Amino acid sequence: MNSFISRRNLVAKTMQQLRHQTMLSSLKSAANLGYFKDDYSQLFLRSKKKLLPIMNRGTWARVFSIRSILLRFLNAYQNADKVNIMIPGAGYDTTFFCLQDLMREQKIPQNLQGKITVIEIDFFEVISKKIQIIKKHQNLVDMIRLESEQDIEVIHEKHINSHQYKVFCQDIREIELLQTNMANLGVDFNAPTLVITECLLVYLKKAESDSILKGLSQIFQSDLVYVNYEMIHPGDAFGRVMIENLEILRMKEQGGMSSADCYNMSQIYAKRLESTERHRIEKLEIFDEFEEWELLSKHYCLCLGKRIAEPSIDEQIII
Amino acid sequence: MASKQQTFDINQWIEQLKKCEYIKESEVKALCNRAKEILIQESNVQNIESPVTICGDIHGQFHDLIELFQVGGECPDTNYLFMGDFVDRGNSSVETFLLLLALKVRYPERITLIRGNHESRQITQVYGFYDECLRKYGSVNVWRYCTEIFDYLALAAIIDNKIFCVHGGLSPSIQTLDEIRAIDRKQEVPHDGAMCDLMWSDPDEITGWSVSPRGAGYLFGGDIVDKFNHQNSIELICRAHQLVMEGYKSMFNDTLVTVWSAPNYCYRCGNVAAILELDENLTKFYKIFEAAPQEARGPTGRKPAPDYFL
Repeated sequence: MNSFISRRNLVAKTMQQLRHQTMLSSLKSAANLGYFKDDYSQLFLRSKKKLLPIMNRGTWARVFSIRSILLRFLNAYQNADKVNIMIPGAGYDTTFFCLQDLMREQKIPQNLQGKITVIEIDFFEVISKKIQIIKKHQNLVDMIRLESEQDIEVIHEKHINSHQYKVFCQDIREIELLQTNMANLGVDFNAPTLVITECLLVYLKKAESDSILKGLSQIFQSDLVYVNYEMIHPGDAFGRVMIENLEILRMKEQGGMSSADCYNMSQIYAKRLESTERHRIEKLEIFDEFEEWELLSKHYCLCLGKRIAEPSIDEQIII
Repeated sequence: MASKQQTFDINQWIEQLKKCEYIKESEVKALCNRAKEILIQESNVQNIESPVTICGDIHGQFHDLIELFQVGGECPDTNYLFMGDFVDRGNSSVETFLLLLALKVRYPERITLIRGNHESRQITQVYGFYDECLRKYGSVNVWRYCTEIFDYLALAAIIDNKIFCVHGGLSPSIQTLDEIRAIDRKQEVPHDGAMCDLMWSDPDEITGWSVSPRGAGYLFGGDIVDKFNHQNSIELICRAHQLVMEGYKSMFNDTLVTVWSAPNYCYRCGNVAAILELDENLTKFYKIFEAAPQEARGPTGRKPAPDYFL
């Protein structure tokens, strides 16, 4: 029994490491070419691999669509006393650091200054390495601490616990432990919470990801918004549409969400992303991968599930 | 004596390239010089006689090109027309283009190469050929020799005066074949105009002309094809340029066909490839083939891991 679990963990960990490396090199390549601003991904990866335009465009669509939802979420809750951004399987995600830039550039409601808590969870191997790299960059360390925390040690070997940034390691599948860990770090379960997962659930068994969704909806008591970027496996159009519909159903049934929406990335790219920005990035590189882009982008989807009490807030948070 | 030496070398190079071993930089230079002498003699619209086998994009998928020759017959036993996009995307653009070029030098009457939009200095710097040359030769000289040759490639071909072959499609600036013949082709592929359109345009289910989402070339409808074919006494336009999952796709009541010859494009798309065989009576026969099996790829041709969003 034990060896079975540890072998499964090993596979999960190996896939997660591949996923983190791939994600980082995608972010770094696209950010370097000016698709979006992310000054921090490059700090976590040495490789200088330049990816093809199709990959950069896909990375942009992913980052831009998720960031758009994140900004809509923050705008909708600008009068809140506190909001959580939770990123299970975060890896080397740089959302926390990018948010500090956005706040300084006043692209986020200034009322939320010091009120946004980013929560990241991943395996020990990833978190400890991430913390090591963070410690090497004083600018990152400075961003993590508030003025009032200057004298407190917030960055530890296996976790970070500052007012705005909570990072710890555990297997995300252990839901009870997750609640305990978050409670110990002082996470406010009554604050509106945005959960972001990217290509994470696909590596888990359906029962496991269902129980994660369900667990999160029980842990967080207030408004809950859930964004999931995922690959869609079946090869034909019917299968893809079916999966998109099932994702909506699953978020509602298993995730305790009151409403859910799901689009594949081809639809999102063509119809749901701000067109001025899309036109800008389309001029960044020669693009000659149209048929392939259709094929590739239809195999990824972005789903948004919501459980929001106030309709006026609910209608602001859309894909 | 010198010419004998050259003949010997070319056979040697072909043997070597067929094993997916690239030849020395000095040999590439000699090969390109000889190819230039042959290509410069060709018309912008090269005349070809049937029987001939027409092939679409290859994109550096060397082992799949070898598979293509197995399916279609070896050159010179079979006559070939390749409609461009020899390089970029795949892992062996150098070996792929040099093998085709060596075959051209060895059997100039048996194989015709026309230019695709990827046979360009600008595109190859984005899509892989430039980096591959640098990686394999440690300098960009081979890329320079090859891209110079690209400028000499014919823009189109016509088979028995009835089947017009081009990489991309038609151009609103062109009504007749003579207008194509009048283009000064020895230059980098321009950003717009007739020469650019021939390599970038796509057919579409529209009427007339429309803007292309590619940012170069145009979309053209069935009525444009009818008019062009009628005016030039052509029965069929044969082109490549667009990935077709089934290998080929006929449009506008069989007046235009797309042929795609890169199976499992970019080692990721899962498509089959096709070649179009034309006999002496121009009877069409499509041959479908899949990517070369792993064992045919040898130790150097291990299937590369494609990129995904993970």
